[in-house]
Amino acid sequence: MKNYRGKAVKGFVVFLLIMLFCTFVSRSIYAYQMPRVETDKAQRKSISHVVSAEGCVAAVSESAVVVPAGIRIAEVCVRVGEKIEKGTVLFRLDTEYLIADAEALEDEIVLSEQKLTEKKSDLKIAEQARQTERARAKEDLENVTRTQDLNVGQASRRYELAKNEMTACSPEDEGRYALEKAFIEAEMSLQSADNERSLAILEAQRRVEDADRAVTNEKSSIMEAEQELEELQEALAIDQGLIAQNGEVFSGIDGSVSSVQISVGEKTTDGAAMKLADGSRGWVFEARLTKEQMAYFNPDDNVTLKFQNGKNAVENCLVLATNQIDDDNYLVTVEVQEESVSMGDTGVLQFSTQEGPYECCVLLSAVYTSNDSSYVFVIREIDTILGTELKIVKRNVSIIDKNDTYAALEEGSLGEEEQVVVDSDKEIAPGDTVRPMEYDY
Amino acid sequence: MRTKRFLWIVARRVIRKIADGICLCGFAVPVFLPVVMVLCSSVKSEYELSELLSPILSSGTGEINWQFLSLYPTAGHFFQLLFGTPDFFTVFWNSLKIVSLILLGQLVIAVPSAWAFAAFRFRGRGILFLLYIMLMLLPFQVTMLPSYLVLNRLHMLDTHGAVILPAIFSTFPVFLIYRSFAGIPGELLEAARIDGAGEWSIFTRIGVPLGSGGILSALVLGFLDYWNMMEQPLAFLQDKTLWPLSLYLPEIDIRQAGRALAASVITLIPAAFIFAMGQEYLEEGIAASGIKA
Repeated sequence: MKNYRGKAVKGFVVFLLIMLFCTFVSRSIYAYQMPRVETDKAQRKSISHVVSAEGCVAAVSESAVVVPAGIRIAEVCVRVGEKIEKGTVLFRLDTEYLIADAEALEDEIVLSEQKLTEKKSDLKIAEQARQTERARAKEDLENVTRTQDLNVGQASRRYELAKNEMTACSPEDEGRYALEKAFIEAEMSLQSADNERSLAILEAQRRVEDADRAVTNEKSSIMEAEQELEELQEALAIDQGLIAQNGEVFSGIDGSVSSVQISVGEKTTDGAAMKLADGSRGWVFEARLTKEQMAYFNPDDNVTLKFQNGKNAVENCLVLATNQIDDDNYLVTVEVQEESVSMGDTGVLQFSTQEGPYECCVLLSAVYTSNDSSYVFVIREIDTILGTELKIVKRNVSIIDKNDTYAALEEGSLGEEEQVVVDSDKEIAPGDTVRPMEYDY
Repeated sequence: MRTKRFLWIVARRVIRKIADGICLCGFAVPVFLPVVMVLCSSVKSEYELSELLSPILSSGTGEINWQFLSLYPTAGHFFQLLFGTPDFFTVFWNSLKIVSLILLGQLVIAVPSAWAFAAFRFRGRGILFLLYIMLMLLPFQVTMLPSYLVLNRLHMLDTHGAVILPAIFSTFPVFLIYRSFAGIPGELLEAARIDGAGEWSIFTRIGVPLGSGGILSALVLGFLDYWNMMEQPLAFLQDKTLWPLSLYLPEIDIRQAGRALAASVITLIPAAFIFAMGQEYLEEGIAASGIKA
């Protein structure tokens, strides 16, 4: 029995030692698995917004270089973005094509002049016929008017007579009926004569107008022919000018080439062969901003332009215009005073603004977003069997402003002393037990 | 003829033994059944437990279907409890501390008290002993309020002292140890006095060794009682860091039934060891009281 008791005692001691060992191991594992968090309180802060938008330098104005269509390009002497001065050769046209085009224009001009001459003589003849016709129509009008006036006069007298006779006769007389009938007939005759008069006069007047209009079409046709002739002569003058310059097209302004629509060997088209940006009136910087960025933008503020390719940054630039491109984008145009920039230079537009101060600001890393709602994790001390531990509690919040670093929450979202989790070494969820982050010093 | 008679006697003894065994097992099985269920269930997988306990966990209707043998036995619950639940060890050591200090205190308080009742005849001894018995019979619910008031006045609430101190002065061990001290012949004590032994020597050299059976029995029974004590910690301990095992087990979520069963098994082990250590004395004490009766 003593042996049995001794074994029981030893067994119990071993059991206690095992429990002691497991106590340390379980605590170590528990502490190792526990996420470590860094916390911070909500602060009163202003939120600064630094907005950067990419853009490029553009010209204040542009001009188009237009040449006759259908001429083959012999050489293109500039490229897009190249700086040019007044008199720089932009491109060269094939002179053979120019000469052929000029000859064709001359032939057209001759034909056009002949047509014009014919039209003018036709106009003269037509004018004479018109005048004759007009005189005849006028005479007819006078005759018709006179005749119809007579008819109406007669009808009117008969009407008056019938009326008087009817008025003079008493209603009981036997001949009253006949007089009334005669009166009605006279009245109808008068109306008929009146209508006939109106129609006849109208018809005669129409004939007079037609006679006047007869020559209008010829006149407009002559005007068209004259205009066509003028255009042909202008085009010929251009061609002759280009031929005199050996087909070279020069720039008329100082600036840079903003676009080139032609290529060697191709023929020119009706549109602009090239577009030139006029550098004499200065440059502007155009940047595209989103709707969210525009919320912080004040046109009265000065902005900073930073260019690539080592060019100087330009501060305090004046905003010239803001235009809405579509629902979500805006184009901001800024004046550029820097001389070293040129058309097409890319850069970044920057401006900063401060909103607030807000009473409740936390680090942006503390705010989580899910399904259009935002929340933060705060820690709460709870009493457990292991003592006072820190547990994670989820708190829904509303963000009223934020930048890349801080988020401003609605006032009252968090208590003054509440600790918000801003960083953790493991993923955390509501209900998790955590401990403060330890730093190696 | 003799052989037949002999065989018949042997057979009758065997049959009687078997019948006795069956009859005793019939009473023992319901006693052992809960322990066996806990042991078997503590190695069942979470899936099996959720299936078996689904009437409790989810629907709240239907009957629990129990199986002793596990389809997918696992030691995962024990691993999770022993290596992933540090709060279990906090309550374990709290329980051990409380019980150890109570038993130590009872050794200091109850043993001399029992000796006084057994070895001395003084005025009011009977009434005092009667009072002890009455106090022993009072349930905790009756003494809870006065104990609370006293402990509050002593600023001992929410400390382990609130549980340990009243238990140290429990009257039950006095009663148990008194029975063993009462069995020591008075003549032996007289002889010792005649030989010049002082009362303290008589107590320590004669009383305690001869009454050790009763003392150990009281300690074993006390351990089993205080290891599972629930009302006092529930009433007097608010701070969870002071809780014993008996309050921790009901805190485990029923959805973690595996861990709860593993914790129950671990909780059983110290009691089993203590019982194994003191079984002999318990049996002696029961047998001795029977002989004396």
